[in-house]
Amino acid sequence: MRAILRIVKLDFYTLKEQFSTYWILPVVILIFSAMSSSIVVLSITAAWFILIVNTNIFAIQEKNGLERLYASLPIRQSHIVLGRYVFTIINFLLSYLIALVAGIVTSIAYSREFLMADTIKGFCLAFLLFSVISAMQLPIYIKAGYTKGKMLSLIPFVAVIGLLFISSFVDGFSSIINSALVHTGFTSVASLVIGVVATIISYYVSVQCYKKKR
Amino acid sequence: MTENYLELHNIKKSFSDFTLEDITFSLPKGFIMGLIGSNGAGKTTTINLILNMLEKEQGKIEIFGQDHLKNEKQIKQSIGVVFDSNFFVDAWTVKETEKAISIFYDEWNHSMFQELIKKFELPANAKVRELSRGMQMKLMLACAFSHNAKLLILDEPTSGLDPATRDEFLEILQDYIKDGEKSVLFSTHITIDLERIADYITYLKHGRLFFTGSREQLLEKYFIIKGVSHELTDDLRRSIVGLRQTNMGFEGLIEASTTKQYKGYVLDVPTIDDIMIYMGK
Repeated sequence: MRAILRIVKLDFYTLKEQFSTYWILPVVILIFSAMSSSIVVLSITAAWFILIVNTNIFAIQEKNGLERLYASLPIRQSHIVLGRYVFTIINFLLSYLIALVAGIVTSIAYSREFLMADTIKGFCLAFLLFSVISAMQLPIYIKAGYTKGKMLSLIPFVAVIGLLFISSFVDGFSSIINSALVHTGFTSVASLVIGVVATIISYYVSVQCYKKKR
Repeated sequence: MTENYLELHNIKKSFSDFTLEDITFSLPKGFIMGLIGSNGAGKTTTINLILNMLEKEQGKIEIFGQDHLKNEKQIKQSIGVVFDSNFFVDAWTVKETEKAISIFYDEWNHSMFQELIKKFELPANAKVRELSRGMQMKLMLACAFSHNAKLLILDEPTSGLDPATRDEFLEILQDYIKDGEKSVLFSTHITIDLERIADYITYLKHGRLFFTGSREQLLEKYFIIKGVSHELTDDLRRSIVGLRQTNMGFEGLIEASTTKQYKGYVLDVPTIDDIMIYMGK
């Protein structure tokens, strides 16, 4: 566990210079929040933002040849991959926290009702979006690197946007989404389960990709 | 009995256009070994295999007497690595580099790092990208020395350095092995550096092991033979490696064991560079 935390720490150090861009997130969230967006929307916005900035770590890794640094350090290769997944999830949790705080602050400021159920639903849906997209993105970046993986990693984004677009035209999709929105409890649990399973499968695929690179 | 810090036995690794095959050599404790060969000979591949950046197809690698895969984490606590270019995040300062790297080592010595950056004149608040190539090399060395690395693996560290910095770099290495407890594997094609500091030489040629042994053994193995054109007999022509002919005469490399037959000829002691040049012909 200590080894994983060290790698996570190294990833945070690696992204150090990029943290200035993270200020955009609370600003955007606060604007959305002031515009009466629900905590669900805020959470999904935060997840979307983190999905975009998370890829920076692969760009820095490639630019600086950090594979050589990792090879020199006393760490296991599978830990490097696991560390990157933990780092990604921590980033998501931090972004969710920002969305949550912004939601609470604006609710108090504008005397709006703040529902705990919405908070949980927001977290679960944001986690589903985040984990499904990053589950597809991470193995691509781990296998192909940033430059080669950049175009391929857009596929999950396009797929999600496409799915949402199609759903507005196809009755079947719309009824599934409506039913999911009605059955909040089931949707939240299912989102969490799907997200966790996708992340676990993605991790094992990534470990194999990392090994095959050698 | 000599204790080996590094042992490679029959290592093989194939790529679509290159195969490294049957590589066997050992580096004893307390010595510097030069890993030489022309570009594409397999030096970096060998180092990548030692560091487990590449997976070997065949053979065995032992570091400090332990399997390099089974005990990778433990072994790497005592290995320092310097590549031909910086491998730290270029946005880090020297101070931040220490912060990021030190967390991985049980024996990290902060005072030693401070001492080394002072000795190497590395400004603590300068970003890695602002440092010259020579200074980036020194930073990698400072990190390697600060966790008490017993085996230093250097991949072409002096290529691209000016002569003064190269000289300083070699002095640092000599100083490093002084206590007899540390070893260095130094891959380079600047063989003049090795004439100065290497105790052992491993010479790779087209992915095969051409020679491994002490520097003296390599230098005693060959002579440069010179003569005028009419002295070049068919027998001699067959014995010479890398024959070079001009209007004035000829020269080439010849095995020391055969020189008894050629007493009337001019025989010079070659440098490592000469051996590589003639062998490459």
